Amino acid sequence: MAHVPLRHPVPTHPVSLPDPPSTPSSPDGYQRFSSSPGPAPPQQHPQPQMYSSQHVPAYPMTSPFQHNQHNAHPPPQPHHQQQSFVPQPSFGAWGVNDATAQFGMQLGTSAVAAGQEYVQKNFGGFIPLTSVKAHFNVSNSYVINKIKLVLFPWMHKSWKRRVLRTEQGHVEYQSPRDDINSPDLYIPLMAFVTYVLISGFHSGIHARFHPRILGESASSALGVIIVDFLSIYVGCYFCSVQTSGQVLDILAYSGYKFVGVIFTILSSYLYFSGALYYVIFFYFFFANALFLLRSLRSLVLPDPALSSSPTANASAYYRSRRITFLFIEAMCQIVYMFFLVRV
Amino acid sequence: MWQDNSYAPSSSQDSYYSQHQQPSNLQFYAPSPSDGSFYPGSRPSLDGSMGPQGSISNGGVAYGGNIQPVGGWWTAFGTGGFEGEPPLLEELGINFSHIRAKSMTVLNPLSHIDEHIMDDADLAGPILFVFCFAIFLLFSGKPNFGYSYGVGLFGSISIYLLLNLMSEKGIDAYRVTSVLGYCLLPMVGIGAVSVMMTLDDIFGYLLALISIIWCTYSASGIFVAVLRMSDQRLLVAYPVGLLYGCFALLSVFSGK
Repeated sequence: MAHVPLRHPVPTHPVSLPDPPSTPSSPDGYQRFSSSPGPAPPQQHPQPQMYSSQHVPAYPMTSPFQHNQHNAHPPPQPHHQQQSFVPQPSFGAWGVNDATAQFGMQLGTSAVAAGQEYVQKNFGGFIPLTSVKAHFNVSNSYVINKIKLVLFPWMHKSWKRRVLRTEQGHVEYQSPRDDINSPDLYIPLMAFVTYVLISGFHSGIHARFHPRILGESASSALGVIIVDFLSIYVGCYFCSVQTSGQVLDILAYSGYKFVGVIFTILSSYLYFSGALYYVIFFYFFFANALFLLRSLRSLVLPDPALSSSPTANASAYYRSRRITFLFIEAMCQIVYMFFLVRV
Repeated sequence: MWQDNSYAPSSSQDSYYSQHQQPSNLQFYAPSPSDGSFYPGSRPSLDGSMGPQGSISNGGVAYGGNIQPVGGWWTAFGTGGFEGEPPLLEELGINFSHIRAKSMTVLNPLSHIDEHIMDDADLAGPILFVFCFAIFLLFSGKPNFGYSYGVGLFGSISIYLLLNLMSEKGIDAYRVTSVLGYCLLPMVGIGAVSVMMTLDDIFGYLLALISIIWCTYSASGIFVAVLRMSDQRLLVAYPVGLLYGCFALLSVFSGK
């Protein structure tokens, strides 16, 4: 996000909410209270923005659901953008000194704004909402083909992700709807929840169900995902692989192992013998390993056509290291899958 | 003016009782030509929930929203009530004919889903159904009030996030919770069955599976109609089916 110089903040008018009904008898706006505070109801007005603009930079609107944030403003201020002068709130009825109260409100507003700016600067760019939304842009055919891809990866030929060039010359990947090789977040999320429910069903069949089992298996599966994600992230850091903006992709790839785990557990209900069960488990493990090897290849070993020139020499040096890291990562999946299969 | 048309108790009561003759009209108050001025600025889709608060202002006090009543404090203890006070159910936003109409729509899987059916998203019906579900489970020996509330809350929030991420047109959380709660009705039937017989055998599994499919079919139909999503009905149905599967797990397996 570009650095915005200090300027008078101009909050945007919330378009999702219509103007609230205006009370004809209170000339300065409306009130949203259900009970009046006392015999002399104060003229409650929001803190005028011009008082806080001296030491607070532009008010960052970071909330993804914009209308929710506007609802959270106490009290909301859509009426007052058009007025040039807003009278002071009079707190005389509440027994608080006027100047002290005004100073307190000013301090509070500036503290909230400073906190939001800090969060925005440090964590704002971590998981952008548009990227999350793009990962959920799936269709029926994509889901079916992707599950087939995860279970039988040796049947797939081309693993390159399709790119498209925007008007500004940026290179970005296509959404899952258009590209079968693009990772999505829908399948991993659904597989995770299905795994939790199947573990509950499994314990119910064996007559040891308790609702807390759902929470326990959800927590352990979440722990597996976190450990896997951290190992990939730290490994990428050691091999100097650029992972900016690829957090969601790594999370998606960690979640695809649940598909194999679910099918292994389901096959155990078909009363196969012990040896056949382990054969099936190892098949799904190898399928998942191959899928990860092929998919993470584009992440860890970047295509020279896409990367910029300064990293080209570095990638040649690190190439063998990255290949080793990729192989170790794929083989570690057996530990995770073995842990998950034991519901 | 605000005070002039805020007391129309007789007309609103007439419209409230006349819902029986107009089952297709699901606005809380029958839309009159003066509907725009009755609640100036209110969203028509939330008429049902905003109605009672709009008519609380009373007594000729100038500030809108002030509930200082005329008459002394003793009128609170009498049965006369305040002047111009709406009836209690109307004030609470509980409309039994609406609840019945929406339940009939859910229970009949062959009915055509009107896309405005969930415009007044009331939570009274869903709360009633979840409470009945938990009470039936209590009668059958599985007291899981906390778990059913937790699963319902967590599931509603998850489905709300998922639907907003997957569709271009957003949906608000009250409507999601309302739809999910109304479509829980077949699951309440399963809970009633579980009082009399145990569901832990193959017949019980089949019954639970049928009710999951029934709930999911109606809920995904309503979501797809309200959100106007194209060829994503199965993708919406799967997470909703997982949520109802969780409820079925609670009702089939006893937590001993």
